[in-house]
Amino acid sequence: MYSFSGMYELWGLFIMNFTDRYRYRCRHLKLVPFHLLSQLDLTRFWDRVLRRAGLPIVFSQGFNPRPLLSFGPATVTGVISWTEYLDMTFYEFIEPEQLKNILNSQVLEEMRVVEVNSIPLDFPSIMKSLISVQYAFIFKDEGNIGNHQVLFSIEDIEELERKKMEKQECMISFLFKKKNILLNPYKSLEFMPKESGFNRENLVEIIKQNYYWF
Amino acid sequence: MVEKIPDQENFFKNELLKITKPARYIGEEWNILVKNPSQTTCSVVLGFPDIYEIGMSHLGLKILYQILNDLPGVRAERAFVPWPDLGKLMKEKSIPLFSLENKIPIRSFDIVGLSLQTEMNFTNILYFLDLSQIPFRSSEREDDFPIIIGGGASTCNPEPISDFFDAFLIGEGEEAFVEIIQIVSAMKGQRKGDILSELAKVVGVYIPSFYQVGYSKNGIVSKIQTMNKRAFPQIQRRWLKDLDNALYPEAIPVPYISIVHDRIPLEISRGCTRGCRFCQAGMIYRPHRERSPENIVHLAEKLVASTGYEEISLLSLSSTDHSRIEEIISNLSRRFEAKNVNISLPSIRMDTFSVQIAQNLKRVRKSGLTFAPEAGTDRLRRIINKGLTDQEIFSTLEKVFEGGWDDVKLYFMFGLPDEKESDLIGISQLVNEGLQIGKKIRGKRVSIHLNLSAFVPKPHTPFQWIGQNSLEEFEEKIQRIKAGFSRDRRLIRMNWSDFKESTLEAVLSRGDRRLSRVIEKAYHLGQIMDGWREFFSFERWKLAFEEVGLDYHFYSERWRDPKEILPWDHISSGVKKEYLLKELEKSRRQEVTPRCIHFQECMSCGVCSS
Repeated sequence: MYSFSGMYELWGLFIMNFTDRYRYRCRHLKLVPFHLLSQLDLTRFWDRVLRRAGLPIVFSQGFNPRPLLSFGPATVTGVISWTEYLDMTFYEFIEPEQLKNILNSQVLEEMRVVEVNSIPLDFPSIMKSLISVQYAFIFKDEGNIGNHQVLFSIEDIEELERKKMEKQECMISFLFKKKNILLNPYKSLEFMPKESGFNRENLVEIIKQNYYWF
Repeated sequence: MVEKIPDQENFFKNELLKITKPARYIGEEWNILVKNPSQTTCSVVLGFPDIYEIGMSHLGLKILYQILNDLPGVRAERAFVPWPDLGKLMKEKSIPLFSLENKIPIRSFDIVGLSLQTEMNFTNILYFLDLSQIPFRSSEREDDFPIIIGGGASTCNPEPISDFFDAFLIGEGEEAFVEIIQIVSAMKGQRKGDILSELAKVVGVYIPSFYQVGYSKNGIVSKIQTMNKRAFPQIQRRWLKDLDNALYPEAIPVPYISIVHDRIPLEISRGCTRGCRFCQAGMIYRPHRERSPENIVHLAEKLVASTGYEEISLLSLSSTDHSRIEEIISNLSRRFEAKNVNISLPSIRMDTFSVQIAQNLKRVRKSGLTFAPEAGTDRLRRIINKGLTDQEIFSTLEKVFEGGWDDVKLYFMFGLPDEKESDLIGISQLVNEGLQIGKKIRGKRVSIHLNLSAFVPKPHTPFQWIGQNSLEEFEEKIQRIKAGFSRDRRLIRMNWSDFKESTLEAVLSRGDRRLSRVIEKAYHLGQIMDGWREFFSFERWKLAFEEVGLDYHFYSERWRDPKEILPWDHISSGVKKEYLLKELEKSRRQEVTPRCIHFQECMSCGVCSS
């Protein structure tokens, strides 16, 4: 059990704006079967993880106080993700490595936090830091992941967004124009400035682990 | 060798993407109890014949889940009925319904315990069995199928579904379910008939196949007789003597998706001190038992720490009737304010509502307030023994608006016995007056959320003999209420129950064994999920009744003679039939029965001596 001084709770109530705050950016996994959680589920999930962990969370003010969390662009339900980012803010400084361990004591292996960085309070948001999102698609009929590398243009993506509105029952069809050729797409990476530490080799490794029939 | 569902990995990774809300089916919640199948000797499925969001909100399931998994060698897992899109897919691919913990098909468990909370789940029982690839009727199931046991509120009249179950557990399961499991594990591998004979010795266990029901020419039950020497002539409902020392989970599974009651359920008392004559829960959960404030605070601390939930709901049939409720609420709200954990009450009696309670409840966030005046006039409230006056209602509304609330939710019923036009107008007048009070106090417009339910006479209540209103009468009455509202109509948000659903509920709740055939027929006609408006079809039910050759009006609208044998007469809730009859008489004289406070003024309902 990790304990933090109880003082922040009182500060939080009376002089919230003058208190020191510490901001962290975390990267976590969202592997099977948690790829089926929606972005709303994920918000609720981290809210409860932070409360369970007894961390000195900064709450939003107002009618319905909730832990201050901010996420990157929502991952479509059904996409297995290696890289989900979220920012959290605390009233006390915690060593990033210790924070990672605390968080991981409250989540399952498939959702584990793989990276925690302390960032300045005025650091750009995840949305602003983000340059691109990379998806890996696996083609069922080819059976060989090495052979296929498909890039699709921005027009395709707009098409996908439209389809999303129309047809919700099947993830596969709205993420790519052509049907029947894909299994779950795999959200591999959000390119973050410098710190992501992700390369193509371990992507192939992960895909092999997750798609056992190849 | 433990049976697995076919192509499990692909199912969870890809097949589930084709359906709505796939996260319902993944399990893996925080705090679940997963035991290794090879190291357990008795396996139980705690099944709920409704979807995940409903079943996971049910407290009894959480309590039993903990108690059973605490037993060495016993493995208890959960299973819910899927939404029909997955149901269809499972049937197409021949994937059997599975438990959420170990993903094991239901049919390979030793016991299936189904929680029956409402009659509107009856077709879902068959859906559950069908998807589990288990035959519907107890008589069609060989020894290698699990023993199917039903429990919960609807088992106080289990007759309409008695053909589908091997056994019922009448009453509270904390002790009795453990006794059942001990017998089943000790007799594992023996013939089902022998196991059932042994189970029949447990107080509260009802084996429907050991009883035979006869009917007279006019369709009324003429006799109920036992066919097995071991079967009790009357089944006594089980209840816990000591609630405060009963096991209560200190950690509960935390779902990923939003469920109906997405908060910590903390049961502060069981049973109700009031004797509202329409209320089944008030009769069948007697006597009133309390958990101590010390225990409640201890449990709250544990549950908040283990789940990370942001709200605690203090459950009971009438929370403000707990003898130390103010102490509990002020204690909890002070303790959890800094953690931003909210305290809420499911329903509050208007005559016990206090400003102090209100202030404490809104410390973290102001949740809505709900009250149930139930009827429109003092006269009708005396008839139903609600014991609440117009004056009390108005003074409570004043307190609410003074406390800073701008809206309030009110529950009423219509179609009550001896209801007159003035009672219906009374509802509209109360609401009009409430809006006036709010405007005066708040200095601006307030809104009232009105919820109207059609009265359903329930077994084991003083109104069990009463005929329900017809669909036409219900329709007329709702129009009458609507016509009485003042011009500020947009300040009144009004919902009312579907009369057809209420009719079916009345039919099924007071039905006899012959209804098994109707339920089965309705299921074969495609009826499932009766509790969901998008699936409920009264036409289909009417057709099912027609095909079986029964008249549903016989069950809903017919007034029963106090002398006739009721289909549930061999099931005792502990409250004596004479007491119920006496209460019915008193209701005709508009006489009020006071609260049941232990050892002070006993009304001799019979529970405590049973």
